[in-house]
Amino acid sequence: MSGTEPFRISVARGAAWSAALAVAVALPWILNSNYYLQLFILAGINIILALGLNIVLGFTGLLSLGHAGLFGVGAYCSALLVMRTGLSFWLALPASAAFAALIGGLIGTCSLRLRGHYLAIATAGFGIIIYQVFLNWISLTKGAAALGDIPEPNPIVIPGVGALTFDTRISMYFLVLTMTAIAILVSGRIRNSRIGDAFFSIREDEVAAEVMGIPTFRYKLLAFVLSAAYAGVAGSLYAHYTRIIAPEMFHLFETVTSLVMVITGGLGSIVGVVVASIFFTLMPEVMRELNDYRMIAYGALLVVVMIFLPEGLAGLVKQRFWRGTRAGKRQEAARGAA
Amino acid sequence: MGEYLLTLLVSGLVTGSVYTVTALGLTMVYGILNVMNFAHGEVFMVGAYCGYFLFAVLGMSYPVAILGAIAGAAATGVLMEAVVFRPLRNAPQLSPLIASLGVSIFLQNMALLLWSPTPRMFNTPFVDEVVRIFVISMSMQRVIVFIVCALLIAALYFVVQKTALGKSMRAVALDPEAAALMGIDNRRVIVATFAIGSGLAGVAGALVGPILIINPFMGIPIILKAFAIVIMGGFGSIQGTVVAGFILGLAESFGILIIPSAYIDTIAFVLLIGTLLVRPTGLFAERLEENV
Amino acid sequence: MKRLLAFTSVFCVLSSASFAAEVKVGFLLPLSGGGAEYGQRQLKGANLAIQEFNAQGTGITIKLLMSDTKCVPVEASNAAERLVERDGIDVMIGGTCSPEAISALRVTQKSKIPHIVPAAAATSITEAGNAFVFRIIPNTKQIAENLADVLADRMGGKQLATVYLNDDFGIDLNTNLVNRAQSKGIKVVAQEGIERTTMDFFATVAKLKPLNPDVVVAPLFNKPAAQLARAMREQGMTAPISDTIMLTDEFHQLAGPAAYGSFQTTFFHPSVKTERGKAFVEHFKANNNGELPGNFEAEGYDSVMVLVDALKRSGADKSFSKEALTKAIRETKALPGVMGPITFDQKGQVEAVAEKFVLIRNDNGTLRPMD
Repeated sequence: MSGTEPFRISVARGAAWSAALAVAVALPWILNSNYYLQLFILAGINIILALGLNIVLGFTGLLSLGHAGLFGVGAYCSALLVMRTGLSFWLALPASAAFAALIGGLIGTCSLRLRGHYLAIATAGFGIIIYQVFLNWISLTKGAAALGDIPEPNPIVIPGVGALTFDTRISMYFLVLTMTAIAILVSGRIRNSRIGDAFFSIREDEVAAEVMGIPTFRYKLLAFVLSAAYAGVAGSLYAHYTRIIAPEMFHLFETVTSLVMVITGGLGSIVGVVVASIFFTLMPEVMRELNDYRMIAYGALLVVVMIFLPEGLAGLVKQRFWRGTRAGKRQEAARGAA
Repeated sequence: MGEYLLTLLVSGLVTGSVYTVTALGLTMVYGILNVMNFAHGEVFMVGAYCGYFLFAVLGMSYPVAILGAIAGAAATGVLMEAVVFRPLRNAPQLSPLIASLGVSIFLQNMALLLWSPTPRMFNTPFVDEVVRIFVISMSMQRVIVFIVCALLIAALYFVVQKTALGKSMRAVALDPEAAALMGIDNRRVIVATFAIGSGLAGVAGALVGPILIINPFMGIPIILKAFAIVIMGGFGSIQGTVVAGFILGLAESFGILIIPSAYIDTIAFVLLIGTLLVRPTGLFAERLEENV
Repeated sequence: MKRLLAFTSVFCVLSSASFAAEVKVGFLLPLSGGGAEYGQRQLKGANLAIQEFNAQGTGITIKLLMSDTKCVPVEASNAAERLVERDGIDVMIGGTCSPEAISALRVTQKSKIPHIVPAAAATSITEAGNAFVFRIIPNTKQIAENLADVLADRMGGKQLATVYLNDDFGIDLNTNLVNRAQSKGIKVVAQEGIERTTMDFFATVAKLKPLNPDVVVAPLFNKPAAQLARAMREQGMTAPISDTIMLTDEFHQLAGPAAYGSFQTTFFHPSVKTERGKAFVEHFKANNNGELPGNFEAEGYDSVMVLVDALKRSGADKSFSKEALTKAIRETKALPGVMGPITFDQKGQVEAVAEKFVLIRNDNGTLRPMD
């Protein structure tokens, strides 16, 4: 059915990712600045969040606008579990991911019988409802007063060596780096698997996929659940890193930033999304003077990319390296048939 | 108590009429292009600002300001069509949707930059003039809003059902290829639809501006409610939009009896989600959507 | 000989100038976004105070480094980090909206930098065990209780309705106000929490009207408050509107006759009678084209006053240390600020004596303090 990618491509790809990983590990010492390190921590969280959106939008072609809400679900769930029940962060993180996945699944169950703009609006509606709950359920979330003093992750005791604490920025950086690396790996695994194949067929032509025997509803729901889990992980990390969260961080229009990252990076392209996420996290900080123009630029960017560069930057770059891969071959075949 | 209920009824009718007029603009564009324009709320906002600048800053009379708002909004709509929607005519459905979201963000933040986040108050003489209707009193502005909106709804119905332009619009909406074969200039019809649809949103903005406070993000709640109305009423159906618009207006008004004010905005979503679950075609769908 | 004398004196002046201690003061405020007006005003007041101080030739100069927080917690935290780590500030002034203040305080507390809060009122700010925070205004609880006392004792109200923003300040204020009012025998007939985006108050007023409140407390931004006032007149409600620290002149201009009779308990009014206050008003007018200062300008000014007073007492012209400065600030006693006397309790909260509040009322369009 699909061939394996040429060995040299695999080696090149592996080498590139390893180099990137090496740089990432050495980053704290390269930068030598606590202030700039913090930007990269946020970049990592944004990568995870954008990769989640990439699964549902990039792989499967579903415009889910409730993503920021699920991010918030992960954040509040994790913060509240740790603060109210004394649960360890290391349990709260997966619990929040699971809870966010559950909510994502519920939203999907309600909305996925619809397509296109119905789906976009329905998910936007759910996103707004989630936001309103954060804002108004004051006894739980403290509403607009913001939930502060969220503790950092609990120390890990390594027998014989000592305790690994997370009250320094470097330790948080490595935690986020690890989670980001896992997120990228899992994304890649999904994309190159049968599940990924199914996702892409649904994106290409849902009716045809249904006809070919793919249970589209189930797979779309899976995409929703996976993307929500990603959002939940990102949310938990975010809450325990910034240590103060407020409803306005999870409003519908925060989804736009993730959307810009996914679309500019290239729908479906993991590398593109990673690069775009880093870029769009760093740029606003580096260009603080131009901050007034940031959202204007994002809006214009969405329009320009959709009209002129629908495959995103990854589309520009992908030609050489993509054709040999499993996903690339599938796309070629689909195009040939059409 | 009677006085209170009557006030709520009147308030609901006024709000409903504004929602309806705005949603009608959205429905028209959807009917023709099969695209939900996220930026429709910003057209409303542009109308409000145009009205404000013409009236409060340049000192024109209110009727002139309203005409100016219509022109400004219509121009914005036509520009959107030419720059964004036309190039994406043949792209997958997701593209114009995302692009319109981009336009929405762009316009909001341009407005923020040009006109500052300071909300403006748009004071027509009618806001302070109090009118008594039976036992309740309200400002003349509200009365004007209702009357003008009602007239616009009737006018739109007339145009769509009885005029040649209206017939062309319905034809293009139903089957663009057949319409072209019949000699209809699709492009002109589309532009006209955008102009009228946006003009409607612009009027709504200029009418309601004095009652609300004008700020660059005032389009956001409007667009979400307009979507809810269009879906409830059935995409592409004018009667449906009118009925749904007034239902929402009245629901929000009477809702204050049972829900705290903070949750009033969620009524639109609850109704929306409910419609999607129970009867996704909406109340009066004219066409069977393949989405179901 | 004359030339030598001249040269020597110039040399002395130059060298003493170069030995002047420079104190870097970080200033966090909202310069854009919703709270921009409050930030801009604080800045004007602070700049005036700094200008006055630097001109005194004490051997200390203040260098102000400001950063926009937009009233967003994450922005404030980032801005604080930048000022502390990158710019190496010695002391921080800042905090308008409470969530952003709390966020920034976490940064300064960790770096043991004294932090003067001019405008954020959340009670929790001085209840968190932070030894480096000093707030120059009364907190929300004190503000709310003061208003409740005024309503009960001076305005003779029997029935009260509140229309408040569903945010940290609004909810905190409302809760404390209602509790105190009820304990003084006032009946609270309605409490309407509204969103920041609420612009039309027709339905809210319709709900309040049959309940007949004697006064409507509406701690809102200027424009929504003006809309509320007009909606009340539109439907025939005569009760006055009341507030604490949010409304400024703009409310009265926009609401016109609908604002007649409204009153608020605030911290400062240009008609202030103290020597320091009058001097401040005159100097402010002279430097700002005749514009009169209000609450926020006074907050900016008094923040710097506290700093300046502490700098002098800690001998910063001879040697500077953050610990000495912090200790000196904590020991501030009855410093005559333009907003009344400033003494900090052990938690860093200014003591909310009666002189900290001024009651002003709109008398047919003119704002007058009520004695």
